[in-house]
Amino acid sequence: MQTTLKYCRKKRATNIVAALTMLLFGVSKVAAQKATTTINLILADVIAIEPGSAAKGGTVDFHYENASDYNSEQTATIPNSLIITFTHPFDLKVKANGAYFENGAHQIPVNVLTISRNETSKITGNSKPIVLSTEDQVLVSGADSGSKLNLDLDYTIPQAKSSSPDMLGKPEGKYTQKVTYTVSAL
Amino acid sequence: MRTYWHFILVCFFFISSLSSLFAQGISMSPTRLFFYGNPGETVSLPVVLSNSSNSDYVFDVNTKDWLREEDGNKVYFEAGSLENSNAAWVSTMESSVSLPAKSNREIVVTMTIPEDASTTEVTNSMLFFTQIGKQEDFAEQQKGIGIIALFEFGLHIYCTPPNNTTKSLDIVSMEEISDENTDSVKVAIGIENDGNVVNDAQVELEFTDTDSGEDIVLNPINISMLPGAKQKVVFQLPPGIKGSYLGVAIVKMAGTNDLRVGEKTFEL
Repeated sequence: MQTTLKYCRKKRATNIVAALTMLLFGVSKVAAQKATTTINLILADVIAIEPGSAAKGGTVDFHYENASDYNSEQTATIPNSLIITFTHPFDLKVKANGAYFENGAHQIPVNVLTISRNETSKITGNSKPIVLSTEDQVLVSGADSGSKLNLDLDYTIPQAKSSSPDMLGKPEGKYTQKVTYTVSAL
Repeated sequence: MRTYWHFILVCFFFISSLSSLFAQGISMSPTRLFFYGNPGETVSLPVVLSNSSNSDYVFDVNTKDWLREEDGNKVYFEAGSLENSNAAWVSTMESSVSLPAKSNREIVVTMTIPEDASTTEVTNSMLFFTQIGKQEDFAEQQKGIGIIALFEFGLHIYCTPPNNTTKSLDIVSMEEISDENTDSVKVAIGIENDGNVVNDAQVELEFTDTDSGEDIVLNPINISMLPGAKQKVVFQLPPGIKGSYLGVAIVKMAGTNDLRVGEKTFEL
């Protein structure tokens, strides 16, 4: 009997708390209906880039060790190559900083490389594969605004290029070039 | 009082959600600068670069001209090569910006409008902050081809004479573009900026089957147009669309309730 009473009291206490909470919310709701407040949401016009995974410290590597490497297409998919937050529609362009991948005095033209958007990307807009050059080229145009949109890129060296004199017969070594991604508002 | 607290709370949540939004990486705000001034005047506006990452960055500051082709694509040119360029009027105190980890920098962009500048034409250019690669960016791998990815922000620079206030766009054409190689149908809405200010707008297109009344609403497309510019906004219709349709294009201009509506019947 004692325990039932205790239980009842406890339940009543809970009910009171619940009622009070509801009252509080109810009152505040009434108050909110009566008062007029103008709330201005001033949204900043911002673009943010996270270099993302940035491909192991900002670099993408292709290895050509043996004959079969040269006779096949190589694709390096870099998830989250760039992660973009933009409050307005934007576009993304890409260009090489020089005409050649360079290894001292030895050179491989940058047009051996094709860059395309992987379908796993969250960045929308029109996109088609581009053959790298020193010209600004559209990688993604008219992309919608959004938060933390990832761009997953496929870097491809087609077999036609790797088995051509552009790459065959070049001295062993590391050939590098910088590639710049440009984002700007529509 | 409660309303006041509500307001504070709303603000707090809003600000905290915003800050988490831009938690990582490098950001630039704003993305476009609109200068207003008469010939002979000097006007300044700030742009803020923030680095919330753990790496240090250095950016080179440079300008280019650009124009928009009819398909909406921006094309860049050497600074000062286009007629409506204001690249030569734009200056910053610094020619490169160093942005250490977890820091902000405000860069003041100054527009010195020459005495002989036009009092009616909008001029434009783009200011770039281009990341400069560092020695440690180079890969350790010894053989093969290595690509070092850098990035760059483009900041639109517009200079509008203060007397230019006419905001207007015009729908000049609506036409079907059929591609022989595919059975997909595209519709191009031709738009002209017949006002004298830069105009942002959203273009909507709706197709209504004249027999069944069925509506097809396409995803809207955003545009931004310089005065005098012409642009073709292309919509891709869903595959297999056949019959007689009424196409209605609506151009909603930013900052005004003004609309432009175009109508045309298409036999597909």
